[in-house]
Amino acid sequence: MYLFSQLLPLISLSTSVLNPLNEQNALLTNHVILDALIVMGVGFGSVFLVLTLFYFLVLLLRKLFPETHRED
Amino acid sequence: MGILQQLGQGILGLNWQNILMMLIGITLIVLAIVKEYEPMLLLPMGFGAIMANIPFSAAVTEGGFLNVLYNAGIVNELFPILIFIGVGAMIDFGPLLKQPVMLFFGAAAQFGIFAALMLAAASGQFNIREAAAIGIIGAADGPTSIYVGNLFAPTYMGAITVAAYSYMALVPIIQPPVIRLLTSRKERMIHMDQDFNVQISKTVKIIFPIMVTIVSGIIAPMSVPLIGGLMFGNLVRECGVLESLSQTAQHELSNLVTLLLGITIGSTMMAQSFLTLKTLLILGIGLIAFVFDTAGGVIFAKIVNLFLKKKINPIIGACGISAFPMSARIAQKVAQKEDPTNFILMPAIGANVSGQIGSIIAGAVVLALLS
Repeated sequence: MYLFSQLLPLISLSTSVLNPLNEQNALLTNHVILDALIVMGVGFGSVFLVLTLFYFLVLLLRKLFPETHRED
Repeated sequence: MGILQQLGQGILGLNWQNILMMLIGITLIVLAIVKEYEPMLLLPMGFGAIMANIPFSAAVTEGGFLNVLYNAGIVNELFPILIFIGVGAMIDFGPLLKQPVMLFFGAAAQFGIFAALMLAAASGQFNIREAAAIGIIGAADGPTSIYVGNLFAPTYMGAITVAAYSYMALVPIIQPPVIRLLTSRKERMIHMDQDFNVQISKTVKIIFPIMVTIVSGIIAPMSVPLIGGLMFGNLVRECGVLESLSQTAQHELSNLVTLLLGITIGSTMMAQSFLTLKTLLILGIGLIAFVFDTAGGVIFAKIVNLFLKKKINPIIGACGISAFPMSARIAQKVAQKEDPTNFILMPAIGANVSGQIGSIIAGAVVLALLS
C-alpha cells in the first residue's frame, strides 16, 4: 500500500494529462489505474508462481518416472 | 403496397454503417482466402459480419440462427472450451517436459496482457473489467480472449476477437522486428543444447495434464473450464487407448466448433457497437499487447542469460506466447537466417506450449481477481 500511495501523485499527473478537462473522470481513471496496477502485480506474479510450481512438479515427475534414451 | 414495403425494407434500412461493416466482412474474407490469414476463423467471421449487418436480417433477430448459436455457444462459454479440447488433443507437451525451464518463458511472455491492461485503463475509456478483457488479447489465445471478453466486456466482443485472431495471424509480421530490435546478431546465433534421444516416460505424459488441471484448479478455480478442456484433450491424446477420439477432437470437433465460433463471433460485429473509436483503440492496444508479449519474453531470456554459463538463445523468449505453433516456427526462421545450422525449433515449441498454459493461467488469474 505504501508503494501505491507513492505512485498516486504520478498516476494523477498522467491521468490529468489524459483527461485535462474532466476532473471527475480523472479521479475515476485514477481508481481504474490503481486497480490495474494491482491486477498487474498480483496477476503477473501469480502466473510466474504457478508456472514455477509446475516446473518443480515436472522435475519431480521426471525423477519418479525417468526418461529413456534411444540407442539409434 | 404493404408487400412492396415489406420487400423494400432492406433497401430502405441500408445506411453507410451497414455498408462499411459489410465491406469489413468482405475484407476479412479476402484476407482469409488471398493471404490465408487464419482462414478457418476469419472467413466465417467475415461472413457472419455480413449476415449480421444486412438491415432487418432474420439471422440475428430473436430466434434467428446466429442468435441461437450465440446463446448456445458463446454466452455459456461452451465453444471456447470445446476448442480447447481440440487444441489439447493437438499439443505434444514432450518438448516442454524435456526442458521444463521453458515454462518460465511461458510466464514472461504474458507481460503483454498486463501492459495492455494498463494501457486500456490509462486511456480512461474503459472500466477495469473491460480493460482486463482487452488486455487478454495479449494472451495471443483466441478462446481465452473470447472467454474473458464474454464475461467482462460483451459489448466489445467483436473488436476483441477480431484483434486477437488478426494479430495471431500477423505473428510472422509482428514478432521478427521486435526480436531483431532487442537482440544482437551474436545472441540470435546462440545454439541450444538438445538431446533428441531422450524420450519422456509415457506415465509422465499422462500424469502431466491431470496434475496441471488439479493444481491450477485448486489455485485458481476459475481456470478449471479452460485448463480442464485443454488438458482433457491432451489426456485423450496421450492415454494411448482413445486414438479415434483423439483424432476426432483434433479434426472434426475442432473444425466444426471453429466454424460455428467464427460465424457467431462475426455476428457480434454489428455496426452500432463496432464502428466506434473504442474499436480502433482496442485494435491499437491489442497490437501493442503482442509487441509487449514478444519483448517481455526476449528481455526475460536476456536477464536469465546474465546468470547462466550456457546461454539461452533469447529468440526462444518470444515463443512464450500462445500462438502455437506459428511463434516457434518464426523463431526457428529468425535463428536460421543468422546461422543456417542453428536448430532451435524443439525448445521453441517447448516455450510455445508453455505459453498455452501460461495464457490460460493469466486469463484465470485476471478472472479470479476481478470477478
